[in-house]
Amino acid sequence: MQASDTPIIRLEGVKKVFHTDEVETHAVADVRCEIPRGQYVCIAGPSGSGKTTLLSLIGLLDTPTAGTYLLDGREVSRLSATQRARVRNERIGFVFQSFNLIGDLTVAENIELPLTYRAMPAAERRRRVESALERVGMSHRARHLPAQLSGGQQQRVAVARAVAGEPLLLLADEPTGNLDSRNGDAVMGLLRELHRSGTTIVMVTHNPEYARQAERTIHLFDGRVVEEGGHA
Amino acid sequence: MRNLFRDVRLALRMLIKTPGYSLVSIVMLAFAIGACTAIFSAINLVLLRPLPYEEPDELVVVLEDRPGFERMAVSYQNFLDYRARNTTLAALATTGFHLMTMTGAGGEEAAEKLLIEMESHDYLAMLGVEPVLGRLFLPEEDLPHGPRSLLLSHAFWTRRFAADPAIVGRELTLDGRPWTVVGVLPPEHRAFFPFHAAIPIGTRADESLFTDREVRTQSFTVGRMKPDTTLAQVQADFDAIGEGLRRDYPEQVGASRPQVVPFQQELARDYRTTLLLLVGAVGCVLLIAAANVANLTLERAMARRRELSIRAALGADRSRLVGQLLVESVLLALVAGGLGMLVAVWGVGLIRASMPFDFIFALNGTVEIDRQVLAFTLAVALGTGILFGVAPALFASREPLAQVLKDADHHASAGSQHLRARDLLVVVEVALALVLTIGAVLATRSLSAVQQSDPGFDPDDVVAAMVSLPADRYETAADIQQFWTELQRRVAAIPGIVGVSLSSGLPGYIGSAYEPFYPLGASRTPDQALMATIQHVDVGFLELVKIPLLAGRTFGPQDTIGPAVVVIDEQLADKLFPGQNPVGKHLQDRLSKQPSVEIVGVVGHIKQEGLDTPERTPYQVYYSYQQLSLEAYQAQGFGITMYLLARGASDPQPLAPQIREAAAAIDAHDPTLGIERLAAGLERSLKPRQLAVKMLTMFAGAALLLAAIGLYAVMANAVAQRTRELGVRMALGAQPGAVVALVVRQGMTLVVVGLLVGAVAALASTRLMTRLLTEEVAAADPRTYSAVALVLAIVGLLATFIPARRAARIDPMVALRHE
Repeated sequence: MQASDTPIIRLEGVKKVFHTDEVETHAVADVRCEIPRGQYVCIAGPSGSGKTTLLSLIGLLDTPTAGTYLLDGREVSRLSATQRARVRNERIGFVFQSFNLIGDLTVAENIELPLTYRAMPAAERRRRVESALERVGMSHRARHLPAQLSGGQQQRVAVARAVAGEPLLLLADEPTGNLDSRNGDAVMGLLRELHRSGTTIVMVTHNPEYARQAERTIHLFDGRVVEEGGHA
Repeated sequence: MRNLFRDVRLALRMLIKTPGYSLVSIVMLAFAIGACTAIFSAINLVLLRPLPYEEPDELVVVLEDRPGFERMAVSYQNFLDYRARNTTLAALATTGFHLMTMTGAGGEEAAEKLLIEMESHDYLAMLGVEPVLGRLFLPEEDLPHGPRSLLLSHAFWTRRFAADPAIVGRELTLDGRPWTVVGVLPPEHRAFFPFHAAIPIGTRADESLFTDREVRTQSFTVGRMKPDTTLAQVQADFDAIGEGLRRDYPEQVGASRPQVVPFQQELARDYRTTLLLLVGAVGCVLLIAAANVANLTLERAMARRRELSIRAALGADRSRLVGQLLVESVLLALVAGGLGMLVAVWGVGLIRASMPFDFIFALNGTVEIDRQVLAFTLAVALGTGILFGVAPALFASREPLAQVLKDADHHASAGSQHLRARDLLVVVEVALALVLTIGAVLATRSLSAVQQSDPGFDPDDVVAAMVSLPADRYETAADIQQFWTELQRRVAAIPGIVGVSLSSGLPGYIGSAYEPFYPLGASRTPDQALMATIQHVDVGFLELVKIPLLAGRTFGPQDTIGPAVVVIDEQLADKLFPGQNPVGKHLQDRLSKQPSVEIVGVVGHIKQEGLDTPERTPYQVYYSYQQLSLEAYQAQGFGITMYLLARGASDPQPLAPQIREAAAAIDAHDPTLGIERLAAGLERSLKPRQLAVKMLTMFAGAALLLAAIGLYAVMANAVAQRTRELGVRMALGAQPGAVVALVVRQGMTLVVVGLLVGAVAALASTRLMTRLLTEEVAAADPRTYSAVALVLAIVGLLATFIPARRAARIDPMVALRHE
């Protein structure tokens, strides 16, 4: 158990370099930052500034070329692929811009999917799925396939999937990018609600209005943190 | 377990969602797995299924080799010495066969020809057989003047004596003498022939057939190794005994040496190479099918990379992703395996219909789908599922996870390693198809050469009736000859019959007996002997079957009495009298008991042992049967059995009932055992080769088709993936012809590489099939290689051209909007 004042995320000199043919691209360069438990953070910046790459590193979808990443006090930047998969599954929830629901699984099965990767009893999985569906107001659609839902509904299911595992950290990559304003507002409302219940959220967005809903914004430019600011 | 259940459920859902992929994959795999199963059923029967005896691995067969003549049966006298002198076998026994006639038994029923298993008293005990009634033979019954004891087979006891439990102790009359039933054998006991009863071989041990160390009857000398004894130790033991026998009996044993071989290996000897060749061929078909499905699966898995990335992002590690994909491929293969059983049932029927009579089949039963075969099919299906599933699963599951955060279209892109794997699979398919097709063409050409080869005689319009006389009713040579003369007279009188004669064996397939001959003046030792097949024939036989007379004369009425004369074939003439006319010259033999026999004629060499059976000796000698003593008749091993040959003006087979009636009119015991066309027997020797060629051709056709499908699928996919690129090229002014050329060049490059690899592989592998090739057909025949490569190239061109033409019809505007 970590002390409650230990930051959820601590990045020290994190770099990510991509090599293509003879070109070396520094997608993320020497990023240092800390995100305390329960904070709602927005990562902002122009296209190509490294937002998504940074989110991939925080979400353990990718590994840094250099630097240290402590997740809840534990160094995770050198974990094996299998260990990273386990940490992702147990501690991180994802909400993607394009929802990323699996078309061949029902709503309930999509939400249950990350839980099946843990040795969790079926009854507990069912309870969590029902609870998550209720939380996002999608219980009546449990047996539908994603293709039978609207974009907003799909994203609510994606949020339910992200929170069903009761993650330490919720990562959202342009969660409203493919939604109209009404559905976008609804999803952002869900995130606010999750934040209020204590979930740490890191979100990438282009939308300044949604960015202002976060407690803090990290601005990236050319892979570097150029500015940090809090919101009222 | 729950995970597996969920994976299976999801896999089923995914397979149903893509019916085209599933159906094509299942059909290809079902054929290949079914073909594998059918071939395995034959392998299982011949090579794997243990002989139906106790501890069959301990059983060995003793044979004797002499220079120029190998694999001889052991003479009875040698058998007795081997049995007495060896120290490495727990038991050594012998068994052979004999025809006898039972009369006056089973109530009012007529006389019956019985196939008798002659065996040393310890033969059945050595095999672990226990009687269901009574007992086995005793040592004192295995002697020339011992009590005549009889064991009945279960089937014969049931049929002829209604399973009478009081049969033990009853006397039956065989060949006019009383034999006492001492026991009934169990129903599961199998022998080389479906015999009716068994007698101790020792009861005949005073006949010349058994007293002459040089006479080798059709028999098996079977031993059981002592526990913890190796085959090499037994061989060394027998080598020493053979040395002693050569010292003790230099004139009879000479250069003969004993060979000890595992029983099952000896029985399977003629089939091992062909079966292993077919295993290789069907393995190629399975590999091609698996490569095709692997390619389809790879494309499908690559199209699912986004889904896999999502799963990975949610916490599935790579093994979990690979496991999910493997469940799908294994499930597909298991369904294919189930359907493949239908193909296997058909294949097994085909094999069964082509199985010749052989001891291994008599002992081990027929080709069938039993538990071992089912287990094999399950294993092959599982293995195939993993084989074609694992590479695509590994490829698709190693995509960078961060892709999941990008919204790009994952369907269109394909990594270079994925493309290389795809191309490699096509190259392998083409190469394997070339190897198989070349093999099939070479084998077909060899079959054709064998079929068209001249047997040295004319079997058309000739039927042969096997006629066996009961020894008790024909005690003198005169009695016997009177029967044959009368039978020939009656058959010759049947309208439509234009010629009749007799022979102790049938040219082309039955009744080969081997005898030693010695040049005049040479010592009569085995080292000097030339082994030759012999036939006892009547006047007119050589003319009836049209064996050409090359010098001298054939047998005539003058050869019915007086000193024996012989007609020899051209090869023995060339060997003994090179550049000379052998007519009037003499050679020494064993059979006539004369100092020498005169050669009165030279005839052409015939394929005595069948069109497709390797000759054990290149020499052939004919005796006049009318000059034989009764003892010599009996020395043929099957009692007084001859073949009556009748030539018709046209096919005389419909006259078979009249021939049988003619024999029954002379001897009420209906001595005719069977009548068939001479040509049918000759063709029977081709059955194993015909089956092998049929299978090889089928596999090659399947390989060709599968390779074409594989190439087409790859090219069609490549065109689909290059739609945008091709659209850009056309927008920039590329002509449709240029686009076609571009695609065809890509496909044909794979075909040409595959052909080159395949040609090298074929050169290496066709050497393994020399057993199936005749001397007219070289394993590296350049014409065959070129022709097959050309056919494959044309098939490849067609498979490439269809997607290429589709590529040329791409609308640039549509293509540019594609992404």
